[in-house]
Amino acid sequence: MKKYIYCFFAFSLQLSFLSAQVINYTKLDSGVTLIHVEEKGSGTVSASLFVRGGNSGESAQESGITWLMLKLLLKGTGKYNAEQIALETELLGASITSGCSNDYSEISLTVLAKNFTPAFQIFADVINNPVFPEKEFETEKRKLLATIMSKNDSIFDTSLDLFYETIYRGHPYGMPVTGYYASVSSLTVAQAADRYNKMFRKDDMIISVAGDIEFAKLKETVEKFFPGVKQVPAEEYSNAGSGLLYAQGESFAEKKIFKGKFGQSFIFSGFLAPCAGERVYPAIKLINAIYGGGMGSRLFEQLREKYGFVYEASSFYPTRISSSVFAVYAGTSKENIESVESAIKDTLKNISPISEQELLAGKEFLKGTYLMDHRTQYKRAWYLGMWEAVGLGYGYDTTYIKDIDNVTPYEIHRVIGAYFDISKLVTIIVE
Amino acid sequence: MNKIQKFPILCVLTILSVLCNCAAESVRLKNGINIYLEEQNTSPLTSIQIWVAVGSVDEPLELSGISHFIEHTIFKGTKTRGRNDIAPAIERKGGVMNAATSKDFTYFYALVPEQHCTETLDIISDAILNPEFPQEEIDKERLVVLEEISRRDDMPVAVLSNEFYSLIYGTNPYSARILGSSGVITSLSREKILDFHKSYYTPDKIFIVLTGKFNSKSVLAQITKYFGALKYQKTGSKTSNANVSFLPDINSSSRSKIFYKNVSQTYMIMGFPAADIKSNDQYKLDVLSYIIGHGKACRLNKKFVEENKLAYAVSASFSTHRGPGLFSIYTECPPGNADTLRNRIMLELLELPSSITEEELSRAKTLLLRDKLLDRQTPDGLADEIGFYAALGNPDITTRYIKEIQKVGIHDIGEIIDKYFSFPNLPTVIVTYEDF
Repeated sequence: MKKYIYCFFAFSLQLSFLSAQVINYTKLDSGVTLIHVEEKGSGTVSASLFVRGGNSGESAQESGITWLMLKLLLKGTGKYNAEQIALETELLGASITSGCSNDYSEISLTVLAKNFTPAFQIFADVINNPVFPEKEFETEKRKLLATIMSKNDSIFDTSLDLFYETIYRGHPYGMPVTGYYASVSSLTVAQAADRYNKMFRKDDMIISVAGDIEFAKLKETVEKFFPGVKQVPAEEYSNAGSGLLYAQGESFAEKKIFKGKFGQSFIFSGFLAPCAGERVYPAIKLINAIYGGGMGSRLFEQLREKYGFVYEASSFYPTRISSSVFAVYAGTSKENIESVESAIKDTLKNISPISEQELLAGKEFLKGTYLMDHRTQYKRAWYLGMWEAVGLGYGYDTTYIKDIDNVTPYEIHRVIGAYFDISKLVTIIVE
Repeated sequence: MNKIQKFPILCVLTILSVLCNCAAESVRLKNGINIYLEEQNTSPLTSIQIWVAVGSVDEPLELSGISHFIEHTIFKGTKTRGRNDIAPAIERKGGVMNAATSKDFTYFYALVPEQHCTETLDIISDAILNPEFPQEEIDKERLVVLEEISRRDDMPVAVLSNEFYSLIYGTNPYSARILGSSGVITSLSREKILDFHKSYYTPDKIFIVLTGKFNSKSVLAQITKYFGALKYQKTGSKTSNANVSFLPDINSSSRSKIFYKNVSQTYMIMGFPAADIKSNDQYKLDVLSYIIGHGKACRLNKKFVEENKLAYAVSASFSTHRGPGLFSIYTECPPGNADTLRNRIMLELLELPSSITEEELSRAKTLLLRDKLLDRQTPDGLADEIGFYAALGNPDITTRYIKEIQKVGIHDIGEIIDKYFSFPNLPTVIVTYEDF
């Protein structure tokens, strides 16, 4: 069954639900951090292994190496070849996927609970014993180059990459996680193996699990299959905070216009913003929800409901270990792009004051959407591991909502004054 | 091959069938509206979905896109609510409300924390039953939909899909574009919108689904209060488009089309029309799609991406429709490989009936049921499935699906290919760049 549908607007648990869950957390003798939530009767298990360090530790010449290395993990171990990994996994009703963000890398397993142990054995093997076959490397490199090319056919992807490149000015956060065509073309299998050897340390591994499995059994299984992961001395490589950024206040204003090959135009506009660890993080999340978070947001109201300029418009404030961005985007016709740019500037300029009513509504919206984002088992496991990987700790999964609730009107006012300076707006337009 | 274990496939399929159990309570109001309720107390959320069995296949040419346009404008206000009292009001409660349109249906959905179920049901019911379609909102939304059309025209995969439906279905209404044409959207009048809404948003076409956390008794009373007041009215032959059931004749039209655009690689789709929603063949087609084009170990990925590297990516799917469904194979490849790849895929389909193995069948069925289990773990995933089959006219599929998949054997796959794939007819659409 497959549905072709067109949505009105492309979008994408209750506080007591999240805080009521029992979370098991332990550091195993091997150094691996294990986080677990049992979900009896679900019949499935989701496990995510996080390693601190995504593409932010890459040089421009090696851009894309982390992504490529992670894909290659699934292409051969000392025990299984690529075909065996794929087939045996799927015969068990399991899927193993891998990828990275700026700050962390992730390998995930979704499996029927009954088959957890044999599937986890394969999962552990691809993580601990990859052999990086040359032939498979060339295949994966070819596929990654095709992915990069296909991004050029998407106005959103093209514009987003240009925005990050412009606003992060030479920092690794400005490079796409999939790398550039030129950099990926020149990557070698030796570089992939080297990247793996530097990144995958037992003391940097976090395994987060949600599903139909008891903690004791899980712990026993993880201890069995992650007995002694390779350790690299800390001085050789540090995943945490690799290649970090300029401080707040060093933002700058810039506007770039690019010629596109598309019928529409697209705009990204924004400025640097604090990282996830800063005290103002919840307040900015809240401002983002109020400004551009949904169909009732200020941005949506202005660009779509009032003028009918856009089908798609939103803002985002991603969770980053180092400097994040507060960014706005919209797609519109070429003749309306100036009006949209002007409307974005105006709405940002006039973002203050935010009324108490808006603040309350924003809190409810943010808490509700966070709850919804936890409705799959994969995401419940993912959030626990992600918060741990970005340094806020797995407990932040529940603290986050409390922090949102505790944001005061004064704090909103103060944060807008400190960070929402449109004289430092970075804008890119793909015409 | 180095086997990890002897896989007890029958055992796993049995376990899956138990886990995937779906037991929605079905209620039919006196006026013909069908309601499906399944309480899932493990979730703190309630999914509320209202499906209306009207989509682009029901539209006359001069109103192409009106179902989708109504989906956009229905949340713009009622006699007692302004637009800010509808979707934004749900967001202020921590929920989301949205809608979507397909060839066969339009559906409206909300996902909310359970304590807001009553109020949300109140709002979504009012929006769907009593829309005002204010002229000013229609005029603004016209611009939004025109932007949506432009956005999709920029997407190679969207172009591919539109052209593929057009090629396969020819004069059948499934060839029409869901979003309609810019010309029609520009000139749609409020009167036409009101008339279309009145004609199609009738009890026999409305299906209401609630899943997640809620109280069935009180919800049923609330639905009866709102929707029970609708007068019995069967749209019948006046508005039902009989042409949707015609199986397109793919032997009589052009077999392939190439569109040159400013793209970076070649996008290609091929396939054939197949079973409709009433046919038991749809289960076999779903299994076939998983055997050849789902997962890393599927046949086409193994051969054409991993082994001979003709393609960058390949996948297969069966799109279920009220009328003939569409079996399709999608690929991305270098432009020079398109012809060879198409021919090789065609030969693969031809040889499949005699070469398929028990292991391939087992892998496909296990993954298919695993995906079904994961979908049913969320309130909206379960509601999507119940509403989809109900709106397409075969609600029993939700409860039968697992058993029907379990019954599919190797010989069924062979039969299904022989029945719907007529070598060498494999209609194909290619989007590629100019100098290819």
